[in-house]
Amino acid sequence: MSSVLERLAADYPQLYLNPDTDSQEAYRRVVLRGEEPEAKSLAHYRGDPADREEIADTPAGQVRVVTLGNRQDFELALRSLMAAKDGPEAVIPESQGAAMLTVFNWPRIHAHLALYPEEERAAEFKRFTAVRENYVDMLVLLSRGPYSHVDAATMGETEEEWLGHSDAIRRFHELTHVICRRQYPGDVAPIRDELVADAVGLYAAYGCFDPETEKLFLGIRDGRYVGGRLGNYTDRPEELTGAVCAALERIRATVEKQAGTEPFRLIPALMKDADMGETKTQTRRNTP
Amino acid sequence: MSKEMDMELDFDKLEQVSGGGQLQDLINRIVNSGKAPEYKRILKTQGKAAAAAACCADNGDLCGYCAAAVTMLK
Repeated sequence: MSSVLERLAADYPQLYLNPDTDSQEAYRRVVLRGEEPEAKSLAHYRGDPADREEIADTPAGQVRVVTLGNRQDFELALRSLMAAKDGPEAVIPESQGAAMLTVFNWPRIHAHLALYPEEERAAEFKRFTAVRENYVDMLVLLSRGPYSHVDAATMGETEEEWLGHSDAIRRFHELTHVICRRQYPGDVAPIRDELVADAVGLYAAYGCFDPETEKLFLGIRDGRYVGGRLGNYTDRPEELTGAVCAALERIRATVEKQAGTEPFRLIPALMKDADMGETKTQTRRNTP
Repeated sequence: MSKEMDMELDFDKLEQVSGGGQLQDLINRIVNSGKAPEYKRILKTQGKAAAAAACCADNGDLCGYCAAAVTMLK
């Protein structure tokens, strides 16, 4: 079993549970109450030589990034990490290649409470968990594979080249979401956020931004929406295609002007370029 | 130990904040919660912004998708 999964499960023991056989109640006991799973087995995962873990440094702080090379492992892990809330049977769409999520760190809570006499632990638990940063981690979970399900031939690359570029795009895309959530708390506009994240990803991978590549990802051909990722973010992809294409040209101009800039430094300008006047609904709380 | 002391965390703080499946996740969540008829009623009588606001009040972690989700409920 990969040491990446072993380390991840040590911090998030719900990964020892199997979403195909364990109940939501079992997940809630582990995730919400900090109980130890009955068995600590990772046999339901395959492990992969490409599994890796890093602590990424970003302008918004450090972020734990885990890549799981096996698609089934990625889906099992994501299902387990969200099972307490969404249920273990939630289906991970085939189109989903990454996730940014919050997870509770019970080992940190237990370690902290162990410093206190037993009779004081309930009160200290309340105090310690009143501060979100004490026990809530942000985790980026990545899978591998062609980005946005676009194949290598369409990109004019070899399979290996495209896989490497896909990994880079996906990594920078998710980290951009982390940065935006931390630096623009409560400001969520789905299409804008995806255009910005893809733009940073493409620039990081290729050193430039080509709107035609982004249109491939979104499912826009000859100025029309033909089905693709854009439909994941809006109920009216056809109507918004023109506005999206205009935003992509603004992004291209900005990236050209700021060639050589570190990718994440482009974010503030890209947030303006990608603004299409979507209905921005403020979230109720900050999402780190 | 935590069970005896009745220490429990709030699962509202568990959030998947990106990944591409959020809109469908939200639609599934609305349907499973039984709130779809209520949001559809608000959409019909008060408009999209009001329906989205009602959805956001219940689903803050996926708030940015509420405007789209409420119009896609069957």
